[in-house]
Amino acid sequence: MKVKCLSDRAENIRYRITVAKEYVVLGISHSVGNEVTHLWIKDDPGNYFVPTPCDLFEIVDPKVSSYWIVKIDSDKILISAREFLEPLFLDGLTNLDDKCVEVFRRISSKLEDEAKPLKF
Amino acid sequence: MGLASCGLFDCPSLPQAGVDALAGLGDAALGMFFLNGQKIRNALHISGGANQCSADYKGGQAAGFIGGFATGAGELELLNVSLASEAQLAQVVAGEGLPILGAGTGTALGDAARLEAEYGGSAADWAKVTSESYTGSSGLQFEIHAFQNAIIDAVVEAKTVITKW
Repeated sequence: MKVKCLSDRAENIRYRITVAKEYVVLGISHSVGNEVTHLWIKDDPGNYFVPTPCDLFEIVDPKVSSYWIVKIDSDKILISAREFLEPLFLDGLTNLDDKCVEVFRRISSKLEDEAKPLKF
Repeated sequence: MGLASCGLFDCPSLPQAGVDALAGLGDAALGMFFLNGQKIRNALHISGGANQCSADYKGGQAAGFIGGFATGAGELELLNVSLASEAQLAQVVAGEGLPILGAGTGTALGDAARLEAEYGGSAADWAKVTSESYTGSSGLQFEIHAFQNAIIDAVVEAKTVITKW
């Protein structure tokens, strides 16, 4: 799944995304209570992904990843690679824990390769 | 490398000696602006961190002071790093950090229950936030992470995270 940043609003700076740039979606989280959906986007520094409100994007490739699974966690619905949904993985990744960073690089690379257009 | 081992400066694969030296350098840089790095850490309830007694911390502190009197690109970089760090801290303390985990992101924060017990509020309202990222001319890239609860207007446990070295 790929999206393109539509918004040229001030939120772009806050969310570290660039208008008109395409991003591979690494996961989706939906909070049932708040009715807010976030796309997990590797931000421009590229060290981890940031859950970013979906209304800042348009979908350019709707095909979902074959690596994704669904998890329901309390009032949250999470869709992403199994490794990213492991308990405390996101805590470790944002702490730049060596093991989590290695998993992030390996899995996000697989997701990005999968999202590349096929060449004949 | 976990957070507890690095404290103020958290960075991938950086030995404690490097952390101590960096902390000394950072505190020296803050001293150039009549600020005190330890006071800032205390105000933000930052626990753990650099070993100020270590030779590496003192070496870094000395390098910072020497850099303060020296001229050249190193001094400019030190100045830019210091200014960027202050701006990042101000952004996070003002509650303008970007939520990256927990409240407002649709994801779970592993530290939420501990934060509720230590600082109050509801576990569901705690988020990990980050400042904007800064990249220096040397390639050093860092940002400040903290835990924020917007409901009780609290920002705690801020620390600099070095993302590229």
